[in-house]
Amino acid sequence: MTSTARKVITHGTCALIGVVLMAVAGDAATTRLTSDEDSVQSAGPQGAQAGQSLPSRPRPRAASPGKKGYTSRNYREAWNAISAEKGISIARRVSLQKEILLQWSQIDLHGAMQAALNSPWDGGETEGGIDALIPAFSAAFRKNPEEAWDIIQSGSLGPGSAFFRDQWVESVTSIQPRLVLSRLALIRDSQREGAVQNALRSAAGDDALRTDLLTSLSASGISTEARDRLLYLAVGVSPATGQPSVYRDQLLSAKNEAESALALAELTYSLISVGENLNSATEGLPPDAQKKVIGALVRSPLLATDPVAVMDLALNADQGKLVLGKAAAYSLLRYAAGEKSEEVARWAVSLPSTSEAEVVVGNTLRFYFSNNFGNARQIIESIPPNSPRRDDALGYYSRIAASQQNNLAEADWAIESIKDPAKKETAQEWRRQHDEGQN
Amino acid sequence: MDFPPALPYPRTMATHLGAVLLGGLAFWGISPAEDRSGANETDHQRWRSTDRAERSGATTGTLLLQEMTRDLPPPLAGASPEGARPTGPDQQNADADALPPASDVRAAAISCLSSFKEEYSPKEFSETQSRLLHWMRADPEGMIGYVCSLEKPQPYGNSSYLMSQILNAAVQRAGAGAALGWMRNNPAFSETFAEQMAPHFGAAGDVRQLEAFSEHLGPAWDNIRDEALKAWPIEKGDELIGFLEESPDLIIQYASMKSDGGAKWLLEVLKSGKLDEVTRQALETDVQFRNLLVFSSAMPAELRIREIMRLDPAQSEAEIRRRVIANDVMNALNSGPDLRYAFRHGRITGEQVYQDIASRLPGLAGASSAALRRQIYQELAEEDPQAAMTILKDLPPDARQDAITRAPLDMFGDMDPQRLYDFLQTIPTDGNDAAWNTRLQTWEERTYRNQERLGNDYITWVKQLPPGTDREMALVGLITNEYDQLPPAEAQDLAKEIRDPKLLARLEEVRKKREEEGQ
Repeated sequence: MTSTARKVITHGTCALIGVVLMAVAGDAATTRLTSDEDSVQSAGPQGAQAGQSLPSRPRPRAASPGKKGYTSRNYREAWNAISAEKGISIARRVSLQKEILLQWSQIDLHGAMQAALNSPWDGGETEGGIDALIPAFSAAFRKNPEEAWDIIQSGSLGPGSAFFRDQWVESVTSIQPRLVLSRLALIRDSQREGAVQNALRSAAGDDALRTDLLTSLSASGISTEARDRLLYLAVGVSPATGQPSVYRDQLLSAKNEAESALALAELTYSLISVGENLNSATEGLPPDAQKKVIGALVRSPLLATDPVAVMDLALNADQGKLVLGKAAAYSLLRYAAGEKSEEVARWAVSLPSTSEAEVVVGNTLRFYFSNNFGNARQIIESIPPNSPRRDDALGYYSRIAASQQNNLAEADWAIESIKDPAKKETAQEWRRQHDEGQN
Repeated sequence: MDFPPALPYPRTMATHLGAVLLGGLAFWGISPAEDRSGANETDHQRWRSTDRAERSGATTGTLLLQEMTRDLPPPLAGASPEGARPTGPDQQNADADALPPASDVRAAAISCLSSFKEEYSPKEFSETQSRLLHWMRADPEGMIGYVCSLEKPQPYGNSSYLMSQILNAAVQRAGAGAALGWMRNNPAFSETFAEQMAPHFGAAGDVRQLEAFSEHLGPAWDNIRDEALKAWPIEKGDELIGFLEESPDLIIQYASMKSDGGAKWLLEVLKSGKLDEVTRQALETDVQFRNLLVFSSAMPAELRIREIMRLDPAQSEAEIRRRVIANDVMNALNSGPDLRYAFRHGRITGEQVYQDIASRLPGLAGASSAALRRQIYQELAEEDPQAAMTILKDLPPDARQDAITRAPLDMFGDMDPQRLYDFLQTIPTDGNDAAWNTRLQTWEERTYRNQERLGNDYITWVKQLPPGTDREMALVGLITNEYDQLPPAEAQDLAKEIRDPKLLARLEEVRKKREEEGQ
């Protein structure tokens, strides 16, 4: 044997000893670090970092072995072993991670969640960020929704809990709508709408479930404004089949505010679906309840279906403030842009001269003229010559003609046609401002 | 006789010991340069150390991974053109060619449709498709008329998936000109399928055809235009200018849709003298055009930097360079091997990442190697700040410090806020005013996205931070975030926890500004 060959053999043997030594040490290190990690997990990573204790995580169900008997530890090993794949691309890495998380999350949800949270948080599929990984938890959430919810709410996942809560709502709503709506107050605003819609869709054809969901929603403890908005949305997804009188009775017998809110939403929709004359909507109700129904109608989607009828109902019932107030005037603007725009514009110019009405008239006409300049003169000419609204319309028309159409001849004609000196003065002032702005 | 030395074979012993050591290191799978101290590790880092240690005993896990690797579908067919099966319209036409047409193509197609169900087998789907294509080829208007007359929209009616597949295949074979005829003769068809037809008109690259298509659609064209422009070949871009009536917005929109080729084309158009002066000036001063140049990584970086400097002399060269480099580095990191991931897991060093990217961006590596190092450092600082430091080692101390101080603001968007916090703990809070302002700006700017993504969980996290400058700055971020305003009472409570006079002054400044804007 040459001296070189002997050196190769002896050095090689030593290197092998090194490998074996490290394997033994490595096992020890694994054991030690794993137990370290357990202690970190039970304190919660954010709590440990900030030196404060957070609630300990709920223990997962008895860790049953997963597919082909693999344990949580095996999945963690597989997760870590991806980094040994030389030159792996982002797409490939993400596919493998998703596959691991899919299986791992079903036997150790908390472990899999922590692994995902230790990935970069920026980006999705292209960058290989956490947004690409979170959907892999869907199957586990659907399998054990309550356990998943408890982990998400335990505080042990730190700020990243939000990713999982959003996914939980998305995954669980269609199969467990009752559970999801019962947690509505803990779900963030931007997700509530989708949750309510999906929950009610899943109740199609199941009246008992529908009632449960609506009751749960009306008593969910979220702000009154948010609750009412969601109630209309929910009832709109799955409209009731009863006659308006059923819901008028429910409104009268409501034992609390939540029941009354639900009855109002149902009544509004039943009025839409039955097509009942709106004048009878408040029939037989005491003044307080009448006021509630009208308020609900003004805020409801019915305003889009039949704006003029709703507004007239309110005006006739002396609830003028409800439709002439700033908020309603804003809603009207939206409808003035749609199919009913001409109807709303004609209604606005028929309003009596009260200070409350001025905002609605001004907003509606400005908006209508600016989007339908060609029709504007027709509206103006339909107003009786002695109505003060004719001068209002001429004034707004002159303003839009100058500022948006640059049609000064038309603007001057309109100003000249105004009879009321004060209104003429205002229109002339707008015209002067326009000229100054031009210079 | 030779006497043995006092220490027998010292050199041999040393080299053998070295071999033992190397064997150990080989086992850990890391080079000496990459071994990092475990001291001061965060929990994230400790977790990663656990990963490293566990790699040692990972036989079952490795097998599991191998099993998954085997089970996962191979990369998309597009990646290997030789073995790729034709898909989409080409495949459907080939399938229809392979099936002999029935003597009565109409009856055969209708018979297939009558037994067509919501849930079909691939074979059934393919046969139905082929029979319909036979009919479509023989009598397109008869077939379209029949489908549009069906009341039930699913599963094979007017707007079904099945129909959209067939029409794509048919127009592929018959050409966009033929499709125009179908649309003119059947308004229902036109309404439903105009958007789907648009790319065919774009890809044909025939201005007269495109004009006829847009005229036929009338006002609906505005909503469909992008689909056609996207497909319009860049080699024929010049012919499109007249059609777009030299609208600077539409020209830039078109160029932006053509990924990297668009900017090059637009620069050539601007220099060709083909545009009227008003359009040329409008294009040259449009910020969207400058952004397009920043994003067009396929063009040489120095050329883009030069052009942007010409178009926007007010902007500093350093800032333009920074934006171009940031874009190109991000694109490089998002393609090829997953360098960020390998670095995060200690598989490669920061210097290796730099060398890899520099070899792919030779223009930048030559003229802006310091700026390139700074950018790659900042990208990698998100993954492992300490290990990333090696990239900066040859930079002058000021440049190095600036790269570190600015990293949280220039990078760290959408990161785990704990990582941002941990990184900031390595930067002293008693630095100069500029550093202090950068730090506050970082917290203020990060708050918007953190609240948007993490909601109340972010607020909870901020509240449990240990007392100090970063906690107070994070609170200021929450109180001043105008996109997601806290309820006034909660904002007031949080404000009570702020002690730093400079931060209190900042709150007052924002309060006054809001008050003025509110008036």
